[in-house]
Amino acid sequence: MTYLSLEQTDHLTELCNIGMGRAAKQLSGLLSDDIHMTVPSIELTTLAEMHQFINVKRDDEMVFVMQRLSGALQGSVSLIFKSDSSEALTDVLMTSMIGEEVYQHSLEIEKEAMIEVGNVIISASVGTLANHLGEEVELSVPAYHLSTFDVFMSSVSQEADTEDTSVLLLSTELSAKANEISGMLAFNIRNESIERLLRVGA
Amino acid sequence: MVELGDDAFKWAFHQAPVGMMLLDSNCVIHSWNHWLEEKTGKQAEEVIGHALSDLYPESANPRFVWALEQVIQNNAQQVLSHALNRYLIPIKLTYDHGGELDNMPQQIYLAPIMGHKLALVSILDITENVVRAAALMEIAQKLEQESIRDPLTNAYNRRFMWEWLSQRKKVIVPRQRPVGCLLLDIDFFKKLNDNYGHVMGDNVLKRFAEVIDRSLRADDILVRYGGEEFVVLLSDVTFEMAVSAAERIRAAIENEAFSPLKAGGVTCSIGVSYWDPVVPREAEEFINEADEKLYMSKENGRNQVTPKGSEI
Repeated sequence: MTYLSLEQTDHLTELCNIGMGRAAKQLSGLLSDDIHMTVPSIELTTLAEMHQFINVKRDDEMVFVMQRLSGALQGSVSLIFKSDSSEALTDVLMTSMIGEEVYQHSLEIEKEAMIEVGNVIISASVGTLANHLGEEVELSVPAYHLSTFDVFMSSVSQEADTEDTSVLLLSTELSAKANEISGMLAFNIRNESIERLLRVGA
Repeated sequence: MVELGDDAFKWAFHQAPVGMMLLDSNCVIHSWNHWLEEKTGKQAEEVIGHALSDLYPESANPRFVWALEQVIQNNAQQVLSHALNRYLIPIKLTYDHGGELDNMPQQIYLAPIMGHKLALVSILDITENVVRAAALMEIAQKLEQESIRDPLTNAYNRRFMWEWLSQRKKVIVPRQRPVGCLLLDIDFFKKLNDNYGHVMGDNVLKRFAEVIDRSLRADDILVRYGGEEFVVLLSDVTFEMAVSAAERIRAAIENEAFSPLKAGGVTCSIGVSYWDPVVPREAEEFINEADEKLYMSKENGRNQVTPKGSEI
């Protein structure tokens, strides 16, 4: 698996946009306002090469929410945000919930909110892919990490069998209350899982 | 090794220190553990077979319904954070946490029960976390305030003043946002302390700061600069406005009674400098200029304002 054809890219992008749409609807409920989410691009890459597509400095701290996949899709999914994006998103959600005067940002609140947001986005995306496959996929409890990109990626690759896996990297754009928040969704899954996805409905 | 039979697991379910219930896709309760019985006052026999939403209408919110669907249809573990959801079922807190909390703050996890179309809904009581976080936040805010304010008068301290000036310097010239500086010194303060004692002296300082504060706007800064010296930084003013503010404050102090002294018993000398938005300069030099003018006020008999531009 080295690259996605244009058709394959379009096909996956469409699927992922459906998933994101569902996630956006859920998050809109939390915000009592419209949230829009899109997937502007998808790359097929590997754990080793992923960093090329992620525009960060080596020691920038980033937020990762990760859930493991089992069943028809094997591997893990991680939602990745720069720490100021994660802070912005938390602030938007929390001020909507409890009001600006009362709200005080803290890392604990950010962690809680982001685990849930990550869980929603990952569930919606994976659910859409699983429905498409017509098969069952299980998702583990979400885990939250705040670290540099390198540190997180090395922990992911330690757990996974990296020989047979590739990374489907989606960039995501979320707009909420005049905030534009960019993130990435990284599916670190077995090549055979990716092939399965591409085969169905192709 | 003990062979665990079904009843051991049933006990484990009931004895768990968290709320646990099994729900199907219609939100109907199939199981309800002891923790839930104790906290809600509803026994398992009463609730089994009923929809959770019949017992607690608030629980039928879109987030929970979607999460339940995700778990049962897609085997996807779900989290409903306290931050974004507060609680799933309202449980009144029975002991006092210092007032703020009414309902138990909860963290909710939903997990699939494989092979059955059921979800395990776990409710975690995170009251302690929330209370602790609030207490820490209060301490942090208090410490922050203490580190930038003078404890006696509640005016800002020098540390804050220099930091404020260093930030403000970045916009004074580029964005044309001038600053006026008043350096005030209470006249004959040492004599006052000697004659009336330090307690009276402290009260004078506090009252002095209050009187000045009354005439300041939201963006202005009052700083306790020294023992009996204060700095006022006026944001976005003309030189004339700075001078007239100084004169107003001088008069207000002269007209204030500082018990047991009558009005006129306490006066102050003031020096005024101005950071012209056309001329870049250094903060230290800006304050020094006000100091020089203050010196002139003292030399010329006290209880007066000397603006920049007056020559010795």
